[in-house]
Amino acid sequence: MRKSRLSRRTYLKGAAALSGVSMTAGCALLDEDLGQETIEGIPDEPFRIAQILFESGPAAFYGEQAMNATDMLVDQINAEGGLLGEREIEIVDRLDEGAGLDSLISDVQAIAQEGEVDMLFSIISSAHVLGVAPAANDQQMPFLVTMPGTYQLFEENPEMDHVVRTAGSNASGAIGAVRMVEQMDDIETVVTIDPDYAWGHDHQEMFETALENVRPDIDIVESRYPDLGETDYSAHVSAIASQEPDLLFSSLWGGDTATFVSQGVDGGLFDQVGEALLIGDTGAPLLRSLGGDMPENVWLGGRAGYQPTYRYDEDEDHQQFVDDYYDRYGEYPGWGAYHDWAGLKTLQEGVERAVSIIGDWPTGDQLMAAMNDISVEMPHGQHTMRGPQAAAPAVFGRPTEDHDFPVDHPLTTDFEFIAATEVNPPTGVPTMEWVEEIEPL
Amino acid sequence: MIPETLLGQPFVLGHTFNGLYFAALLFFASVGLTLVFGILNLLNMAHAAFYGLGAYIAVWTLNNIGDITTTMVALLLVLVIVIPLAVFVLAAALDKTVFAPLYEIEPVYQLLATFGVILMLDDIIKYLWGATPISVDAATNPSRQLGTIDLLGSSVSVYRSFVILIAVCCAVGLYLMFVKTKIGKISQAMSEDYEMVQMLGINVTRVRVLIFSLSIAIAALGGALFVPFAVATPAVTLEYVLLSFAVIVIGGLGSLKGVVVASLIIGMVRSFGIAYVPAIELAIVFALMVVVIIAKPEGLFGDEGVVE
Amino acid sequence: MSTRLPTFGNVGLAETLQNRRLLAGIVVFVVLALYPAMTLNAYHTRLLTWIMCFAIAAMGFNIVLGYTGLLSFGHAAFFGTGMYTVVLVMGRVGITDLVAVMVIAMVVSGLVGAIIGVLTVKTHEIYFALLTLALAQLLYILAVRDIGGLTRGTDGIGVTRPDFFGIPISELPAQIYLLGFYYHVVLVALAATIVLLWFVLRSPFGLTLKMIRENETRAEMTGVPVLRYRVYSMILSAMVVGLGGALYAVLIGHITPEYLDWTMSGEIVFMALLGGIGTFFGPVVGAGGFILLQELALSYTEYWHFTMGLVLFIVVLTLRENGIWGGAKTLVERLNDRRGEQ
Repeated sequence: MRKSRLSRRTYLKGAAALSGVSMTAGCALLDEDLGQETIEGIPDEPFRIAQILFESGPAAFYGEQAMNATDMLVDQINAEGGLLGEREIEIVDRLDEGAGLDSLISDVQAIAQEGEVDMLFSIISSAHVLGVAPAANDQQMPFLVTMPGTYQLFEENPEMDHVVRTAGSNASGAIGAVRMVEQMDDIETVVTIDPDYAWGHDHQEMFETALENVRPDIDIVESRYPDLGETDYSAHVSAIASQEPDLLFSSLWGGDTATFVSQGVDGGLFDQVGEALLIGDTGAPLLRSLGGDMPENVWLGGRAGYQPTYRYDEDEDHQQFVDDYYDRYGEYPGWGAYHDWAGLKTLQEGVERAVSIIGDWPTGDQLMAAMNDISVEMPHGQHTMRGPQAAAPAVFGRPTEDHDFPVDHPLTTDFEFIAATEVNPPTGVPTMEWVEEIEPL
Repeated sequence: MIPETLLGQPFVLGHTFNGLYFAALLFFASVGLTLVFGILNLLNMAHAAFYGLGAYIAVWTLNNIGDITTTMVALLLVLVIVIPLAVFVLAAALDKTVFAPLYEIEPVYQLLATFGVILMLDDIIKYLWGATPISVDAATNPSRQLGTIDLLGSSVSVYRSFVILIAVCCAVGLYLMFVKTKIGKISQAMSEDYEMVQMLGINVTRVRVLIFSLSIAIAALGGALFVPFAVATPAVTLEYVLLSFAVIVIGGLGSLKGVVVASLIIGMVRSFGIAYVPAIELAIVFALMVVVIIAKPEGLFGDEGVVE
Repeated sequence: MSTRLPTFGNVGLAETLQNRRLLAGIVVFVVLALYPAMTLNAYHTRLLTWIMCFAIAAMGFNIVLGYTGLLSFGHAAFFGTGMYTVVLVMGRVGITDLVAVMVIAMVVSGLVGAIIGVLTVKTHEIYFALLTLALAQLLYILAVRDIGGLTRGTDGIGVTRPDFFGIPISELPAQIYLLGFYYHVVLVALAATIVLLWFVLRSPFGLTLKMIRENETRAEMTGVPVLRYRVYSMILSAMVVGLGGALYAVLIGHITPEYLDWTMSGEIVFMALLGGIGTFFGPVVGAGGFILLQELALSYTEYWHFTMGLVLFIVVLTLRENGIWGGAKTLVERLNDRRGEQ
């Protein structure tokens, strides 16, 4: 599974055997060529991608799906001849985010130095992308970011021209949830529970700020922040149950939602709350791991319509993706898989667009530029990039046992769709400023 | 800022129950650590890693046992008897190989070498079961199958009550072992004067292997009991390594009573702390550690023997 | 050569040895200084800078473990304090001069060291290890919690590049800043740390610390104010580790609370131990060994934890306080002896 990093090893040997420095290298000081050459025609060798994701740690939950989807889609694209039908894709390396930011940045440097990778792809953690993306950009290394949601990525680093992100910002999930609450009756009290790191705090802050503008009559009575990867939520469950809130809001994700909901069911939590909005990219994998325990007064979803039952019959591409994934892995794709699907689709479109304009294969700069302001067809309709950043809609659904899919766990139905324009700031407006000024629909 | 509704009695009961349950898990994870240190003078940082191992073995066993049996009694027996026994045997083998040289070196090096063991065990678990969190399927999950009962207006988990009961049995059993049995008395004597016991012609190595393996087996028992209500993740290991050290430091190294009391303190403080002051959850355990070590460097019961 | 050595007097022997060491040191320094210009290899340069930052930190750490005899599991607190000080001083206070920033980072780390030193001064062995761990964890939690809005929680903060004595050197492209400037700053800092600690640890101060390590009670009886010296050693250690962290902050460019977590402390302990806590240069060698080993293990296998764990286990059991540096020295001495006999 893991590809070798031969050339990198050679470098390491060089570093280790420092005494053997060749003194003949001369003093051609810092004359390296930072400019890009042009490429003629369509190169014969494959388009080489290094994928960055969690292969270890709690977030590997996400990483595994992303890796699965990428393997499957790359095989499919290559079976048709590759990008443009002419250039195959090769995943030449996978970097484990579990190794930490130091290693990632160092690896990106090595990869840029070797020049044997055409593009970096994926990445999960918001903290990592905030470090790795500027580093890749410094190296002029194209980087297609597919998963993290932090709205700070481009707001903090507006100058990055070698980075694009095909995942919606976390604003779409949080504000989508606010739009849902806006339409609900009989809600007076809300409790929020979010993982204790930036993803959780950002979601809570956006949700609370926007909700105050949109429904000032609703009161957030308590906000809880359990650890990321918490295994025992029972103390939180008892405390929330005792509040009997009308609504429970949560951006817990991955295995954390599964643990929380299962322990919540055990502690009678969902009998005590009116509605629950679980927006931490939660779909099929959550429902699978919970089996029959899923309470019914729950909305599941978040940024983008990444649930296998969403417009499954209407969208042939989606049907194909879901069925292929199920045939190959015996389960339905989760958010991680969909995110990388969107990424690869954008890459395909970007290459096509660039080649149609310049006639030759694009350089890194040109490819990245071509992926700006592009849009691709995803289950929720046109998935549109505004500049380097996708603006995703929000989609929520209800769990149901009543479906025709060959699995014995619930899936989602009764979808609510909130357009991208309602849940993303207009181009150029900083997210938090927009959230503070948000108005009722 | 305590919301008034929280002062209602049913929830105090709920929090107490949660606290007891967490205390039970802490007890399983740390009692062996303190015994091995108190009796055998080995500071085994990797001790709680066997808690994580027990959790993974339990998930694997329960998820594969469905074809053979789904009887509740059988499932519980697997958790309480079969898995700890298997780990007991494994631990005995490890004691004779990996851990044997560690008894001879200074505590500081014991800590560091066993930290190496944690790292290795970490990857062995990852190799066997992957890095993705895994949980017990509903059909063979005692926690889900047993459900809850209504007690004084609170919903109380039957399975978790069972876990608390096992912890109590285990604590009482250990106490009786040390007070009543010959092996227990030898162990106590070893904790006071290892050389003397050796000179009496007693086969200390056999006692050592027994105490070590029993300690590890209890940790694995804790992990096995923990997992049906929770989920096995690679992070569980390090979390409980830290927690178990907090327990034995607060309780006092080498004291059985200390482990019981410290587990209860941490369990209760955490449960009520999360309920009433959610913002300080993370800090609670470390703040307790700091206060106890500064105020009473030997821990609450550190200057006493294994059982007073 | 070695057969002739005994003909020198004792003093002469020591001097020659020292001069040879000095010479070797200067050669290594010059080779390292020329390395980036010779190879223009940004990846190597970065790796070396990374190693040197941690070499400084590991040396600083070893003041407490190797010289005073106390195992701290909380040195991430100083490393992280150094890092966050850089960001806050540059971002909030607006001081952008490299030297000023580094000095401030050392002072702030020293202050944290003083506080932790005073609080832990009466504890020993495992209690000391766990108290330092708990205190450092509390600092970690402050950073994760984003207390006072300073750290931005686990998302972390980006670091901009500092200038140098009013020269707007930070405007250079990242690659050139590293190859042509920053690498050399770190190299000089490491050299300065080595020279400084060499003298400090051979001064009466260093000898007193060693006395405390050997036997605290006896040191106390001979009139050494043990507690005060323990705090001093903690402050010195914290300042050096803080410097390592501060230098590293600029290199990595983005800071998260991970650098305050106890696993970070564990890494620093690992480095010092791998190189040899009973030797002066051990921590430097250990930092290099650790980082290269980790990079190598990572590139060969996804089971790099296992590799690192195995190495740690074996090093502790076989080499103990000598580490690989001490082990190598012993090996060379033995070979020399054997040659001498023949």
